[in-house]
Amino acid sequence: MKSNSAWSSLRGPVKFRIPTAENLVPIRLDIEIDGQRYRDTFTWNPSDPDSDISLFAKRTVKDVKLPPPFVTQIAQSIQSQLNEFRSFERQDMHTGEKMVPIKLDFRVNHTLIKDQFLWDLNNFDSDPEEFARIFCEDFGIEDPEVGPAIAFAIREQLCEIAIQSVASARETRINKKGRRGGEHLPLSKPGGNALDTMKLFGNKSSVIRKRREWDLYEPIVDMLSNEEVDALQAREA
Amino acid sequence: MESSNQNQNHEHQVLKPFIPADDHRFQFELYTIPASSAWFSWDNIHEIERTSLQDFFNGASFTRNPRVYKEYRDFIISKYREDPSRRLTFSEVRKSLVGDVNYLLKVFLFLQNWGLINYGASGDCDLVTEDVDGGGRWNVKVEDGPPNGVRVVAVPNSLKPVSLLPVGVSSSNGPNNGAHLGESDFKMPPLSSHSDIYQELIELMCGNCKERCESGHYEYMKDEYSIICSKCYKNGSYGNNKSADDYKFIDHTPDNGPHVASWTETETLLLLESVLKHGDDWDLVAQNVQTKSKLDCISKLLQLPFGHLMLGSTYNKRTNNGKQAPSVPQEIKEVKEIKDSNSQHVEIENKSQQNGDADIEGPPPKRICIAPISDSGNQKMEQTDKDDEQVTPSLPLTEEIREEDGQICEVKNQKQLPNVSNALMQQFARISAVVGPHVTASAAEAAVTALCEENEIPKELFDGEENGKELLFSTRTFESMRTDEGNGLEMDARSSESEKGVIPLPLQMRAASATALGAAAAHAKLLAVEEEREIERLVSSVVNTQLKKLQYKMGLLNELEMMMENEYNQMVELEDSLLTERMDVVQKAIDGGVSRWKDKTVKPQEEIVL
Repeated sequence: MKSNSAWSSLRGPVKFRIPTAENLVPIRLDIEIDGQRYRDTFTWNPSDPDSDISLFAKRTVKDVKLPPPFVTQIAQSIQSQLNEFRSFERQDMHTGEKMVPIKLDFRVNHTLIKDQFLWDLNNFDSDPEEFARIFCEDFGIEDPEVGPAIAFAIREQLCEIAIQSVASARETRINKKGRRGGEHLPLSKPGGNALDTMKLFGNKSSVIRKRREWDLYEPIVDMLSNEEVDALQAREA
Repeated sequence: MESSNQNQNHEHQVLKPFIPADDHRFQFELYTIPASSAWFSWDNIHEIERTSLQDFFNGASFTRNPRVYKEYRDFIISKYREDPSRRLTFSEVRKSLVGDVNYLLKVFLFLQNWGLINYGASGDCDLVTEDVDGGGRWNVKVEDGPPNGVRVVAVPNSLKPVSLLPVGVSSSNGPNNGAHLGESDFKMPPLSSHSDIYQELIELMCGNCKERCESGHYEYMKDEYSIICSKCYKNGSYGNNKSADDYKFIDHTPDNGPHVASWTETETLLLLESVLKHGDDWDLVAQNVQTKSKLDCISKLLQLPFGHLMLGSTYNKRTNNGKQAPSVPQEIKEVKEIKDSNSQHVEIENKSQQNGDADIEGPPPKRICIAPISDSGNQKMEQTDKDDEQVTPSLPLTEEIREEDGQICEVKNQKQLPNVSNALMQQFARISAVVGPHVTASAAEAAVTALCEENEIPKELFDGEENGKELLFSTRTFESMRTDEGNGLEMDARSSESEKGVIPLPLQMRAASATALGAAAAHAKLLAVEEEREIERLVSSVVNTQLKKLQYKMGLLNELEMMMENEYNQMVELEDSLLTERMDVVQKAIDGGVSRWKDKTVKPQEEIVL
């Protein structure tokens, strides 16, 4: 516990950002107008000028052949998501020694992906896109949409966790004010799912996982047939 | 059996994270790593590792320290060496290791780059390193449909049609699209901007039958967006509340100008009528047509398949006041004044031939001789001499007479019908001069025969004339012609005019032109033959040159072959020496120990034992 506090004090709170090399905001669109539904996911660089948003919206509507009302809807949606992200931007984020499990469980076209792995919130060099690329390469996935989907899923979860970390940092500050010099409590773990890094990386344990946990962390990739995809889609609808 | 053994091994490794060098396994097994990675040691962490993977050694986090790194490293390498012939993937490793996947990936790639894992493993090892270098990282992939992450789907049970987009556009969708959008009939238009490119085509989609308007379309004049194709227009399906008058035909076949295409049938008829009426007074014509300009009228008339004929006929009509003969009389008028002695001769010659043909069934050479005679005085003399030689001796006199007759007859005809085409005759004279007597004669014969076949009258006509001439002008005319070329002849002819039967002008004309054509054809044939010979000569020279070239090439090839053979012999020698060298190396390798996975002959049972 002592070492933990030492590490924590060594690592002061950082300004809010997505804990990856590129600070990109994951944007998810799901807009429905007059019986037409438009869903899309992509990342947005928050330092880009906001004027790009309407341009992007116009372009997208033109390319996907959506009716004109979608332009404002799309622009608004992107803008509000960006605004929300920016509202956190100057705040402190307390990541501490946190390693969070990222869980993937989704379907892209015919590829079903289920995976779980750890992500270090302090690693600001991490690259979800590179990870996704290696993933697709290792499994020989040829569908070009799978890689971006994996990267986006990682980014989305990281963003969520980062936002929670802001709240956690606030809590810590309050705690500090209340009872001077208080450590940040395990309770404030974002989402309660951060792992006890002490236990995992302590001197007594090996970083090699127990065999029985292998299955838990083993990536699973399934290729679905057309019928299965149809069935899943019907269920989703 | 084997797997369980390995499992046990792993349990051991978990307890003993690194395998000591004195482990008995390593006394028997050789693993190949690149020479550049010789720094590697199970017991120590080398400086290269420290600099390449600083994250584990700078103490930034207690989750990354040298011990953790060594565990990662040793595990990955051991995992790989379970089966070195197989390529180890990162996804396979990370499930067994606790830690941030990004740092794990770093370690993994570090080991792979140094050849400590996946070195010489089957599979795409080269490709992987290439990717790491960044070469293949940004492969451009072409998607044949819109990405499925982006979707426009109809909410089930929605009553509205999803889109009015034409079917033709959405046909470019990938086939798997339909599968994803199974619940609705709507087919999504392509996401890509290439639709921008085809914008024009899309606009020309018929609003009625949804098919592309190939040759032209009708545009609804009240708003420019309603378009129907010509097929629909003809069928009368104009759409709601619209009538045929509201549509304007728009032709967009690239080659046709708009004014040409927009000629209606009535307009064309009007144009033709007014052209017939007013001739080439285009102002009047345009006035008559009303809807078209002068220029339009002219170009339209020219484009009509018979346009130039129309123009020609109207022109003639205007000048000749409706004379029937087309174009020839016109020429006659023009040339009439230029008549000279030469042209007279031409005519004379021509006629004489005709006459000769008509009455005499004798050998052709005779008539041939006559033709050039009339061309010019001197020539005629020579020709007659030649003629005499050629013709059988019994005939010379009559022949000459006949020739004379012809001349006279011709002169007479000339007087009678001043319109005989001198120009045509001139042409013919030139042609026959070029071709030569034999050919001209045959042509003339053929011409007259054809004429006679047409109706029998001409033949008799020719005959009758012949007889009359013969009777009237025997020696006298002959002599006079010899001494005095033009004038005397003409006088004679004038005197004989009244007595002779008249050969109709058209007949003469036809005979003359037929002869001319025949002669020209013959000459053309001659020229063609000559040309053919020339071509043959040239071709043969080309062939010869090619042959020489080929021979030269063959020589070079032979030389090359020699060189190749020499090289081959050298290669064989080299191979031999290499073989012996390799034998030595293998011998030494066997002495030193055999790598397990490289040697395929090692049986699996041995592995289990190990």
